[in-house]
Amino acid sequence: MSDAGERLQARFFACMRDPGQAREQLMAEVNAVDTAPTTTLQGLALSYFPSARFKLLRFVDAALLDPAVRPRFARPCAELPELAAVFVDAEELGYHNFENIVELGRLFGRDATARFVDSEALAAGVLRMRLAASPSLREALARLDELGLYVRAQGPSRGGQRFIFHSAELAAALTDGLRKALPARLVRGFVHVNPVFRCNRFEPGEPPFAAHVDSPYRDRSRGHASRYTLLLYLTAGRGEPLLSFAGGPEIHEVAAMTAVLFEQRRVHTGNAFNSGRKVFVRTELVYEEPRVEESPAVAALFARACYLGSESVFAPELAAAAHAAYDRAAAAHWSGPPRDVSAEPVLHKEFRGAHFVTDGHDYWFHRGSLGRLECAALALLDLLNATVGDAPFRRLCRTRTVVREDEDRSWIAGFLRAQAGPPEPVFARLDKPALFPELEQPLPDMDFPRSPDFEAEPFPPNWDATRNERVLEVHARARLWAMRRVLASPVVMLGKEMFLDPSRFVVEADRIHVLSHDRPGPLHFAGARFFGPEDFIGVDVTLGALQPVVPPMFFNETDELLHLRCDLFKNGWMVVHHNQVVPVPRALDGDDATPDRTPWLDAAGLTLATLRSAAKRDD
Amino acid sequence: MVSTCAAAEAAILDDPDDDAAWHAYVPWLRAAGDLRAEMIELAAEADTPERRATLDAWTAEGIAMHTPSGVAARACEWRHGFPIAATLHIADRGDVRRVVELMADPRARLLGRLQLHIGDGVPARSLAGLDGAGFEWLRALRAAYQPRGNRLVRALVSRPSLQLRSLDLRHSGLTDDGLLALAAYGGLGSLRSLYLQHNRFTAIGVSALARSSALSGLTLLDLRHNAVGAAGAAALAGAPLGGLARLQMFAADVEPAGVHALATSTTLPRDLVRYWRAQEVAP
Repeated sequence: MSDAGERLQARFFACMRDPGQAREQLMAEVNAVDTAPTTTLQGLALSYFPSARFKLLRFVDAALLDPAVRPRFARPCAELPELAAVFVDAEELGYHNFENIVELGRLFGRDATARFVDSEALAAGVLRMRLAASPSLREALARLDELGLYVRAQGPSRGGQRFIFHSAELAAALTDGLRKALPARLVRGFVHVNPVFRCNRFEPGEPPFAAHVDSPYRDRSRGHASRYTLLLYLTAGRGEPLLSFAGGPEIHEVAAMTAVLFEQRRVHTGNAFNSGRKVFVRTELVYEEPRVEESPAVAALFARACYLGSESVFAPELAAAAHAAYDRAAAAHWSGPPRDVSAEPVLHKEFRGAHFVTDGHDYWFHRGSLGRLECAALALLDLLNATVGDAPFRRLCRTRTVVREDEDRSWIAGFLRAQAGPPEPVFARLDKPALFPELEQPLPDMDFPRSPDFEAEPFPPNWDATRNERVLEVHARARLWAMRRVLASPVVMLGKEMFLDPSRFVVEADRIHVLSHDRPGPLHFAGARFFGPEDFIGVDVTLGALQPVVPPMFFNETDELLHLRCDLFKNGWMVVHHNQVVPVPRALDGDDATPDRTPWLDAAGLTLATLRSAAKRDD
Repeated sequence: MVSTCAAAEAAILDDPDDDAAWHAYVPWLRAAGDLRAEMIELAAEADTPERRATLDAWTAEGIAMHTPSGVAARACEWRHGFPIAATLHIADRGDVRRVVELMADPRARLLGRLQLHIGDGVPARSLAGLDGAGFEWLRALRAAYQPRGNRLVRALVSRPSLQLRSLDLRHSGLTDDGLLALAAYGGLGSLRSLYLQHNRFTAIGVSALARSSALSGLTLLDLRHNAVGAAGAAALAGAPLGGLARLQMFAADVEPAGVHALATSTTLPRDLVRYWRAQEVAP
């Protein structure tokens, strides 16, 4: 498979460099290949070549990849050899890893400077300027289009290709230039340019970026919010129009390095150039907004939009509804809470016989068949699209889109009542301490095995790995390492089974808090031909321990329904989760152990030194 | 007040940490003129360092008088002037006699936990004297890390019945013969925890154990590091062990067929079955 994989990989990037090549034929071949993941990174399965499952291209820091497989991943960007191209399964993506933000700080040197000149007000709240960039900045901006980092835009409404990058250096140069050029009323409260940029490319004839309102950036903890969008056109061209705002104005022609600044509340549409490639960078201007308040209704709408957007990977018919919800949420930031809209889709999902209805913010369960914590755990797995077995949760659900004309949700109780309950509890209970039985008593004065390279019988007559003091020292640390992680996890996965730990859910008044373990430290690797105590620690079972860091869920109950509300986008919460792989250690008998093979350490991604320091940290 | 002195003592043997059980014993001690009744009462009221010091001194004075034959006071764990647990080392026949003396001494009537350290060089025949030891009221017996598991089982099953809740014979050289004897013995109905890791038995012994109705009350069975095999696992999967909460065993020791048997068991508790189902490798 590796040869075929390498060929597909090479052809994929050749096709990216030269779109004239037979892309359709290549994709047909890609769709005919099924492959196992090459490795995983932060819980996400990766392949080094495109296949039916791993089709979505992303770029990651190569240093984060398992060194054993790192060379297999392509580095298609000659200027940024630290970036490895990986292919992921779009269905495995969740909110925490949906966007692929590439770090491009190195591209923009610290000597980059920007001046904005020839400022011209096109209409109220729309400003055109020209960027006079320093040679190094101009050169770096010009190279963006050649980096080969583009991916096809998701959803039919965006059009073109784009990639997202982060550059504090570019943001600093633009912030400095704008501060000097903007009219006084726009400088008041201006903090900085958002260092996350979107680089977009449209070829002539490509569909437009449909009418939309840009979603503002908000950071309630700092009292920051964006008010203006900055578009920086890197290429010159004409379009009919290339940028238009609802109610005007329209822009039909731009020179390279034209900047357009406009209020984010403005509805706008972008079109490709008539001829030539249209390349532009988008970011926003962030202001101090001490009174930033998130309306629950707006937050709920935004959460629904994000959910529908991610669900459209599975059900493309949801893309239009997601786009509309995004626009309404973005507009609501400026014009106040939205009115309820009828006919907004909700999803009816069934997972192993458990039914629920959701719009990504609200979850409804029938109380007859599921307990409160089971419902919370199902909502969590769905929101995070956690991996169960080797598949993303949302793929394991049978999902049906339901569109109702009426605004109220009173139909849900009867609808869920009519569904059959699960044939067995969705979650089993796991006796977690049973995974970590007490260690055996050490047997003093036991010799350690000698090298099998020099001795026909390397093991001493009284050899018992389970009682050897040196093995016990490593076993104790491995046990502690695994125990901390497993005991802390609210939901543990083993194979296709899910085990729920009620003690990791705290119900307080009308909310449910989900507890978990902090993320562990970095991982390293090691190797030789003598027995070490770590060679005698093997793997009993390997668990997936879900470690979510999420805000509390609110709930209320009626006679029939449990109604959960989950807003993962609330500011002040860093919503992350990882499905941590936790190998449970066991002592190996002599026959099972091989010198210099450390199965448990390898499975945990640790060396003896990092295990010892991790155990010390855990203490 | 509990109905008999024996019932009060049985409650303490069952759970020596249960204060209520000790208090229920007080009237019986008073009736017998045993001053330890006051110790129990005072312990509940010893809420100052001075009172606790007085009590400790009083207890220390009484220990010499209440130490049973065959054991040193320091080898016992004490509660309210009673030995509740003891550890004995057996190196020869003399030590075996001391175990028998201990178990026969009425002063050891609340001694519920016994730990035996049997030296590696002690021949099995030297342990024959244990056949006469009165293990009847023991709740927990641990004779781990020694090579005479089979001989110890023989001593246990020589008694008409036992009230053991926990039996720990890990690393004791136990073979199928030992397990067959345990399985055939009808006096282990109270047993809840059985530690048998790292022994020398096979699927034959495990199957016999699984079929034994005497073990149907088990909540914990530890069989790690044994050649249980697929046949042993299949026997466990069909065993009437509906109360078993912990079955400590490695999938590697029971082969895929054994994992499948456990994963499809209709007699083991559902959560346990699902744990093994999760370990099944898809064909």
